[in-house]
Amino acid sequence: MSPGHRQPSRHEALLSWSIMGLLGLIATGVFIRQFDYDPSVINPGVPVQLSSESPEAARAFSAGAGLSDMLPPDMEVMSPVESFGADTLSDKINGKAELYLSAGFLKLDAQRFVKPAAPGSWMELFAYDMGSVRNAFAVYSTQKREGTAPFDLTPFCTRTSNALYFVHGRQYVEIIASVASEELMQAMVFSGRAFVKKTPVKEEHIDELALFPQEDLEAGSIVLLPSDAFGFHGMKNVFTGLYHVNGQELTAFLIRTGAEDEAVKLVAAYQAFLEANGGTLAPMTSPIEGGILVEIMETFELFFPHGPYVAGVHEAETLQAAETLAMTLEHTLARSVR
Amino acid sequence: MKTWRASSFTRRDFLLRAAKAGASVTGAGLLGLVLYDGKGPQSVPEKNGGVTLPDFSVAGTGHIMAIVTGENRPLTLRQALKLLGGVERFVRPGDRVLLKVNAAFATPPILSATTHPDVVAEMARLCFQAGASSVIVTDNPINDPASCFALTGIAKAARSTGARVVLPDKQHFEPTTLRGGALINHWPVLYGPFQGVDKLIGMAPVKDHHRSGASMAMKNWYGLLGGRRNLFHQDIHNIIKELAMLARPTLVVLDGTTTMMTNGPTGGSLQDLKQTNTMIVSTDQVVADAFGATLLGMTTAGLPFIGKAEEEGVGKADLKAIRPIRDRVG
Repeated sequence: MSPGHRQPSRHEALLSWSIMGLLGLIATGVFIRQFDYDPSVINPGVPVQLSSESPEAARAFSAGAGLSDMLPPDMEVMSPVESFGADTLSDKINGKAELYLSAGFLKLDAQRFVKPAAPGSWMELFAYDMGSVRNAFAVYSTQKREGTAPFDLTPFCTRTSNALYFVHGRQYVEIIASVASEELMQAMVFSGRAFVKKTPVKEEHIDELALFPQEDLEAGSIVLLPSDAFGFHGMKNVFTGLYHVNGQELTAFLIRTGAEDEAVKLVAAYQAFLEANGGTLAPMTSPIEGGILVEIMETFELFFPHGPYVAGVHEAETLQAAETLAMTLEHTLARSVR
Repeated sequence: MKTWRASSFTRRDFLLRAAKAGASVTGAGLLGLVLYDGKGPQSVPEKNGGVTLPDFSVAGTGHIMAIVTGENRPLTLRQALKLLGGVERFVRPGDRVLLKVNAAFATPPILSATTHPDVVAEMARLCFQAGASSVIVTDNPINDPASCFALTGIAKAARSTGARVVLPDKQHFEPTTLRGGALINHWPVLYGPFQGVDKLIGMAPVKDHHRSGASMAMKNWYGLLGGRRNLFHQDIHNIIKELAMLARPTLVVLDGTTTMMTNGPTGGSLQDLKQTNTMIVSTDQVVADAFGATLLGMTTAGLPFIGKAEEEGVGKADLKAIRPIRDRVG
């Protein structure tokens, strides 16, 4: 019997009307909302809670939000938790968003706390979920302020007169105070310790850091450049460390590729890049297997593959200094990488 | 219950059902035609093809610049304006003045990520002293506008002088198209606060900027853009150039008292800052930025937007040609 030969059952009719009703509701909703379309409307962000509101209301802002656990005992919540994803990060940090996005940024949660007795004394906590400890280390190390002292909160932590910066697992955390004061520093440290205590981490270790020779290495100088290191697009996830050899400042670098042949290819590609930009091959006086020495703009680039790694010295002023550091780097790799 | 059978399906039934089906299709088509928007979504409803910001420069002032060194912002600002002939040369009695500040972030003044409230207050005061009938302070910040103006101290400073703070609102944006521009095309700009305004003064701090290299007088106009303006970060030098073509101010005040040397545009640590103790006031935003670059230890060659703006005739980047007037106070 063809479908046209029977009347729809009660169940079918009911289902049909339900679907039609639902479609009608959706259409009505779309019709109403489309009148509000206007891309010139700014992302409204989240307003700061004004002091006239009650502390209870302020605390209620953060009910259920993780960052309120970091609230120091003598402070109140000043604004609710703001959350940003990759597509909205620039709404919070504007032109600096690219730095985080290129390093694997996933999410930012931010919140302000204030001292009720002194409304001008407040701080803002930024917790960036970078996806991995390496990514978190990348944004931490590239923004590290000169002359800042390490702090014992986590293996990667520094503080300045008005701020605390640290890596905790895949999280990169900044706590920034509105004024430089010992009182606010104590509050920032409290929040930092609370964050570390209450945020479980799976990974804290970065293997490459142990592959840099310790002799002549400037403490805390290792940086992870996520992309376009030394102006070369092929240089990604490059660790660099600052050395002082015979009065000269030198940069050693290390990249872990996927495999030995990838490392060899990267060496060849970097050589081609340097030559294309005016560099010339120069003879080495030290035996480094697979090593390439390029003289460019009155500096020396010496680099070589070692297993899945590419290591080298960047912009050395003299050949001797470049070879000395490269040999040390090679020996360290030989001991550590089998 | 009635059931359909082939034998009972008459010619009349067929015609009736065909007519109903045809009416349904026609109705749906007509409804679609009524709702069809041939132009597609526009940025905002356009009025007479969009708006254009007027030229706020004062005739006869030319390309002039004063550079005053000193730690005290109100003092250096006053002296710089005095060197250029006094604020009265630029603001006349009855003028309505708009101060376009950089209130991009909800951060405290000590971070120097935003225009310092002391400079805003002093500029507003001087405008009133020159006879301005009103002074408006505005910006379209990155973060929540009310929070930005409150936490930067700009709102309090402005109101203390009698100036009015205008927070951006949906109704303030109008589409504009820059003649000769490639990027600003039917794009919403913060136009509302400009209505009835006679003079425009841009006020910006000197900052490092991760994307453009520096954020100074010309980059400050970025705060006039509405919509998803972060799209323009992909072509940052050209959008800064086009904004400088769009906004033709009476003056720009570039505050290099404390310069953000690293980690801009947000900064965050006092270690990002350097006391450079320099106040720059100019009728030429290009040369102001060219000098501001030196405070950052940069050259105009390292900041392509300066050369691009100069090529478009916005101003001159050659400091020697401008011959700035220099002084020191305090």
